[in-house]
Amino acid sequence: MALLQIAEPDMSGVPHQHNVAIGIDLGTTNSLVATVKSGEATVLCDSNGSRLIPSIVNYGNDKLSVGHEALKLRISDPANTLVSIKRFMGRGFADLDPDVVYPYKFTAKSDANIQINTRAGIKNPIAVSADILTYLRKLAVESLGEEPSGVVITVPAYFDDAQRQATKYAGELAGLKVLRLLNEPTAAAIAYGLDNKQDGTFLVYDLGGGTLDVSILRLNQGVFEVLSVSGDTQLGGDDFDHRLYCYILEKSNLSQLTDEDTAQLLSRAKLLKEQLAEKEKVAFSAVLSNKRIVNLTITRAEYETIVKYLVQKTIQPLKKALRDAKLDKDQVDEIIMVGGSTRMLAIRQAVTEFFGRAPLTSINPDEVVAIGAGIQADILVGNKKDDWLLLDVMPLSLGVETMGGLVEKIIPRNSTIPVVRAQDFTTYKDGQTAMSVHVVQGERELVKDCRSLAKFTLRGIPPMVAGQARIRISYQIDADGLLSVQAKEMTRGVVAQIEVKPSYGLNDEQIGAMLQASISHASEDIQQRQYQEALVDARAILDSVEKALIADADLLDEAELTQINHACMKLRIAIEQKPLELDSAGKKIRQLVEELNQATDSFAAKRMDKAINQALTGKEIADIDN
Amino acid sequence: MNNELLKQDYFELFGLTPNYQINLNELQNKLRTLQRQYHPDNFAAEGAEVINQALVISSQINQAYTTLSEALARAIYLLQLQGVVVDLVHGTKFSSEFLMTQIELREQISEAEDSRDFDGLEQIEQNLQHESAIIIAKIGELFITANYAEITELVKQLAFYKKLEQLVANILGSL
Repeated sequence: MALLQIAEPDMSGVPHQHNVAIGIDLGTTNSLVATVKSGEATVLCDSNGSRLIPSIVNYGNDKLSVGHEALKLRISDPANTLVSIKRFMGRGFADLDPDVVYPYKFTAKSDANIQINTRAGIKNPIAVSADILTYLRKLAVESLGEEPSGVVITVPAYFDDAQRQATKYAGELAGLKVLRLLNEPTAAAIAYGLDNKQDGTFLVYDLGGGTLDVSILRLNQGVFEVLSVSGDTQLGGDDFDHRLYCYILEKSNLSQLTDEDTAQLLSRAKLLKEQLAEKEKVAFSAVLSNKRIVNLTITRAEYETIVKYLVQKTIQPLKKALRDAKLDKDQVDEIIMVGGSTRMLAIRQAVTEFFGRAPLTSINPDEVVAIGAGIQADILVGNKKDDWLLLDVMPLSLGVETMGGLVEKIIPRNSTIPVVRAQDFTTYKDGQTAMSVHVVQGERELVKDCRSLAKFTLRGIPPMVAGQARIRISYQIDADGLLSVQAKEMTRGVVAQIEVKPSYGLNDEQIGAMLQASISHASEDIQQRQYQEALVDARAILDSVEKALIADADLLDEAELTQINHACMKLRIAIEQKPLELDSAGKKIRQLVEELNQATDSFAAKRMDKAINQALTGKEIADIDN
Repeated sequence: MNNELLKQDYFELFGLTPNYQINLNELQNKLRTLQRQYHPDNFAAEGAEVINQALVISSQINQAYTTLSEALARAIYLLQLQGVVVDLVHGTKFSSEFLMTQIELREQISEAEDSRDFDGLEQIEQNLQHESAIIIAKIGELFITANYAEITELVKQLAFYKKLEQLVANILGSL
């Protein structure tokens, strides 16, 4: 059929020079997507024109809502509206703060992993995060007109391996190519670094909804080096909301609230906190489900007194980060404030007081991380060469369990990544053919105080006298801070070699089920795409046949004309029908396209002859020879 | 990518002649140059194989930098290049004087920790750093005369001081 389709030479095959990449700030409270368009980093808006997308998912009866839509359902349907899910990433029930009240129906607490019963079935934090990321991906596709070729997702610098693995996995589940997990403070420094392009030492104070990160970075000759990171994974703006919520309960003598009331008061507390950043005094009133009215006025001074402890708790990691970087307060050139919670005056004052000078706040603290991630994504897909290089560090030490439940550190925290360390072990019994290795992450000396990352048994060691086998275990941390472990028996070459990927708090069955689900979604997507492609092809061929008929119908006899018209009609009917099932509908269209192709074969040949005859008419023989 | 890099020793990798005295600024600049070339981020758009290879080389560069930039690790590495293997765990004989000092220092540290004496700990930290500096200077001299047996003994002592420094830093970080 190619003969009937005559394409304009300059219309086809425009080379794809610019790769579209996006940066995602997957926040506890809000998420953002940013991209670099014609050299300028911009945050993308959703259909409401909003840049901040609430990191909330509602599992409705037959509908999945994410973002603002889900936020609206938070009060009416708290059990199925999952908020601040980032706090649960890579975490088990044992990690939950017993003082915090959640309106969710958790599965049995005996399960090591956090899972929530929702109307749409049991959901784990990775699946919920993947739903948020899928929403953000679609938002980007709508705004950019194409699938992004890669994504940078930001994580708190203090995230451990389990939390990082969980985040990367959520990205993959959402169908994204994760180029890099980028530490949030590093992203912020990139955003500011681009502005200033000045060598110097930066301290980033990032207080988000759920986490506090402190990083010290140095920009030197195009290399961004992270000197130290510190922070608190369980301290953020939510804690300030919660403190205020408890204060409201206390002052109004409330107890035993319904889930709806808890959700209402919590979100009101958050609003109240935001208002207190601007006003000295805010009046508060709410109607509870039992019609009881809560009325009170809270002053900023009152608020600052009740959160004083929390504010002070955020200063501690600053000292630690400075110590680790072997720097004095005065050696820090700029202090960068990141995260919506740094709008709180009490926080700004405390930081200003600590350093004796005011921090930088010129870029919107909600957007700065996404902007940095977008810029880094743009660099990583190769749109900008030789801009700068990031040298990040490990936030936590990596160790293995030794005798007596003690930890032997293998890679100390703040080591520049990527990094690989090997350690040799030997057998302690004659003929021993297996050994167990337990990898942990954390700073404490006892295994029970650290986070367990991976436990595995190395089998297939050739039987030898005790102490003779030499097993080398290598711990590789990649540029995302993710661990993989390899074990090798050295004396007889590569006898036992395994690679361990930590299971980040999910068992094999759960991982299998999630993969299965993502694959079936993927096949749905593929069918959808194939159907769409078949439609496009069908329309193109119908169009060209029609044009050819208008020009050259006289070349055909009546039987031929009828046959072509008939084939066209069948195809037209097929593409106008709403498909019941994508796969078969796509195949049907393909088949009819093929039939039309065959019906027009001789027509195409006749048109070709005619075109050649016309071209030859009036030309000299010599021209044809050439 | 250049696989030859993996076969080089750490000094070769950084374009230096093996020597205990080292210019840390120069080392840092060289680290940046090498990482700008080999860090996996430079290959993010490439296939998994290329990224993996970059990961291996980049890790090696970082490992080399860490080894050469730290006085203790650098001494052990230099000895190793001379065929002298230092076993920090086994076969170590210290003078009773040295052991007594170690025990006293540990007692001081745990006392300061119990009483949450921040200033006291910082003082201890400074003393430890001072002791380390003295040993490091001695090691430097001994490398000139290639007195590896004596260096080995000093390296073992230095390891003790470094361990205490780490302990104090951890306590200070958590107070």
